[in-house]
Amino acid sequence: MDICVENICKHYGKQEVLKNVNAHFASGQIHGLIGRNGSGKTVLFRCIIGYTKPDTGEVRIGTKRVGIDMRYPDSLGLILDTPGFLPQFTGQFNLELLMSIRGRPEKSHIQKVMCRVGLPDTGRKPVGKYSMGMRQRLGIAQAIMEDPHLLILDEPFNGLDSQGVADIHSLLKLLRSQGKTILITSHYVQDIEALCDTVHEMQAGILQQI
Amino acid sequence: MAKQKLKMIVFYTRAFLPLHICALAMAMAGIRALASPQFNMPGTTLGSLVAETLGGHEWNMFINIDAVTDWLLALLPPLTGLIVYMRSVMGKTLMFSLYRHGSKAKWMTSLQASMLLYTLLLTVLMGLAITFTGFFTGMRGLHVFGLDQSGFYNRIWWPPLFSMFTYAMQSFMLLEIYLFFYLLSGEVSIGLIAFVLPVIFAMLRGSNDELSGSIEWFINWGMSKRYSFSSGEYGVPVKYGILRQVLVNLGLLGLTHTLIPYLPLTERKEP
Repeated sequence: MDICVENICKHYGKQEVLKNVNAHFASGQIHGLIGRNGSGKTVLFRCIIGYTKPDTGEVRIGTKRVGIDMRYPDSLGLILDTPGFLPQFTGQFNLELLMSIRGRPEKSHIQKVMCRVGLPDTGRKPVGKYSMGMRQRLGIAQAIMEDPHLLILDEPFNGLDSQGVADIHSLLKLLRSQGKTILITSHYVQDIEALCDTVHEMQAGILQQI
Repeated sequence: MAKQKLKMIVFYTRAFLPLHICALAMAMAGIRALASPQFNMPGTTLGSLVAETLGGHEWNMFINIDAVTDWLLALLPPLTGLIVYMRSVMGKTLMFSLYRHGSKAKWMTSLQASMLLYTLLLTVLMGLAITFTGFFTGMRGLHVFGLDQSGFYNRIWWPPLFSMFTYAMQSFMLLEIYLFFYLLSGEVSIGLIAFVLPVIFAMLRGSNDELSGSIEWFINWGMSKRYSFSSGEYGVPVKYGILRQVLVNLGLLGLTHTLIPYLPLTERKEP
């Protein structure tokens, strides 16, 4: 499913965060978004998933308009900001909790997904005791565990070591080969260039393709 | 599908009930049982200790601040659990869970269902803590002595359960009020004020049994000791009190549901 962003503007008070943003993200590809902190990348992602209502313009996923024909995208995996989990529970329990909302949580499937992101042996360790990198890996696990068609990943490499970044690169390339559409932001231009089929840059609310 | 939804609600309720909240609730209930006037009375049964501790305060024309504080303390454990839980679900976890629910209304339904289950479970835990406290200090019997339906003084079993039920209903009502104002403002402090102030005000204004309007104050529907069980006695009629509590709870559920689609939960930059 292609994603079309058309004439999106968004203000917070007097600050114009998105300025007439237009973009087309083709299905089955990895699309990268780079830009400085506060440039509007995350707000654009929020508009795409229906968490923030733009002042003007619309987002279409396939033929459906977000916020009008559907409240949130139907098949979505998401990381937005720092992954937030219930810190007193294990990673496995957190994933089971989230998966129970839409489907039947199967322990074996969740363990498989955790292995896939490099968290095979966390045992009974609560998420509150995870390192930043482990939380990030768990965040990626929750995004991919329901096999969604669309992945929106805001800074997925934050806190990961070089091996972790390489692992997630491989995983995302595999998901692309399976036909998933992936939107990704990063501060690290080299990550984006190595991974993405298209790259856009956000500068003070203005989006342009590089 | 229904089984799956139920499993989700159980998961959510488990998230409401971390060990430290259970321990806090049980400790608070145990301490209140030990501090109860009933505790040192000879012949007190476990049932009467539960009914006394969770049953609130008798009608009192000159209710003092100690009684108000005591009842606030009684209501504190459910509130603490909710604050801890809401911080978790309203933080960054909301970003993960909201789109999975498909709408804010469905998210709210699961939250309210688990909140109800949580309130009931926490009340049972508190009842157990009071029972164990009494048992280890030599009390026996889950009954209370009172007038049965035929007018004879006898063992009756329902008063402890009734006091637990009214306590749970009042806790749920106050948690709904907290939730409503918290969602509206995004501030824990506003939610806390909305929880605490009605209790203080209603206790001070609605404890006088010489004013017939006292029955109209919600605080009395949550205190089984202010109910009347026999004719000629002043107090909250059982059906009236339960019906009112259920209606107010349903009203609050409906109000939150009506409001939730318009609340900017995800619009706030740091929800």
